Amino acid sequence: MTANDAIERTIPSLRRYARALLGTTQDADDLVHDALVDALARPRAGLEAANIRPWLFAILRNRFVSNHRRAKYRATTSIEDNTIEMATMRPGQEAGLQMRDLTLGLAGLPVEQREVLLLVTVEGFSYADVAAMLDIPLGTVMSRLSRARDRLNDFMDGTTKPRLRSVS
Amino acid sequence: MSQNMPPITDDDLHAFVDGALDPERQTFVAAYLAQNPQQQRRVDLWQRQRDLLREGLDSILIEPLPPELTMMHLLEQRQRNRFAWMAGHARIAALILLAFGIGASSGWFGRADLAVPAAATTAGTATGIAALKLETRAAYRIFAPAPRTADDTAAPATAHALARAVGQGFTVPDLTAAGYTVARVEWLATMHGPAAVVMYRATDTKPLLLLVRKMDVPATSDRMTEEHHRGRSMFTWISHGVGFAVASASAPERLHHIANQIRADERAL
Repeated sequence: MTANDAIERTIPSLRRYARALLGTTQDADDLVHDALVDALARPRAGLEAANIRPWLFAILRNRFVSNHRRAKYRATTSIEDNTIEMATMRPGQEAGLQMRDLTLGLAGLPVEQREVLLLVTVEGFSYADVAAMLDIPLGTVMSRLSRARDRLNDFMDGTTKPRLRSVS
Repeated sequence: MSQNMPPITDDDLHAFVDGALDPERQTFVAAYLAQNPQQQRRVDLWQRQRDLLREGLDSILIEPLPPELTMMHLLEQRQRNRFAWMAGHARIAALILLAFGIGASSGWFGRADLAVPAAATTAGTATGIAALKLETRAAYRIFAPAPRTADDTAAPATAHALARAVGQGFTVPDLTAAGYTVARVEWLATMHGPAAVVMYRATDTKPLLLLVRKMDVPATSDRMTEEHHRGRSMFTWISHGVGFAVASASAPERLHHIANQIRADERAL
């Protein structure tokens, strides 16, 4: 498998991750597109197919951070203000209210916690992979994961009502 | 076995959920949870979170990809951008030669940074804001190394000419509050009409270039765009049919602030 094949196979999961992170399909696909353009501009001859996925997620993450910083700097919209589109989640018949609470809870998490939670639980990366990807110590990965999970627990068992920031 | 096991931590509980423990530790944690309903409940909910998140998000994996996210499209776009860059440079080089004469641009063709990698481009065809960016880049290369002081006697005439080229009501933005003074004002002939170039100089940082001209195509967005390449930054936007570009090798935050100021001042007119 060539590097380009491996990149192509990763695109669906990049979209999944970006959409859960940003909340809207358009923003997410724009981010994925930018990340892929970045990736194709880099040399990838020495990369093994197995390493392409964490490599791409790291590139997407860098792109996300720089866009996010700019958004903050401009103080017009910030990522935290985006709520996850309800349509992003397509619950099965039985999931119901818990799914709704989880969706709202996820949207209400600080972005640093949301990204760690998604990378570990949905994308299945190891803690070490995530630490390398986000360029943070392993202990920080664990504490963010812990805070994210406990906070979502509060939403799911109803101890905390979702507190969403209003979108102006 | 549990005798020699280190005490259970929160990290163990996460690793338990994520299947990151070795089998022995996994069994040890499972036994602990069986004795501790409160922690068991916590861990159960974490597992439920994971299952629900995956269930909710997995449908994205089987959605058809939008055309712009297919590998074929991305690779083609990359090829096109490479070509557009070469074509764009050749065209602008020709225009600048016409506008200033060969003497003014001597030394320019020999510069190594003329070849800008395709990755820096954002548009495949040089019209609208993409053309404005190309022109600004080219102008920056020429004028940034020589931001000589403007001739005071020529300044009013230049300002008048600028107003005619770019539109009534345009005045050279005053950036003295940001520490910049006007060092040079130039005309530039481009494929899309006359452009005004203003070089600003500051005592504490790199020169700043402002390029302004009427746009060749209607604006599709009034958002400011930015790009950064080799330590240079450029901010561009369109306002009332006039395109603005500021470029500098100084700190992007400072440049962004100035771009916002110019836009705000221009809107206030």
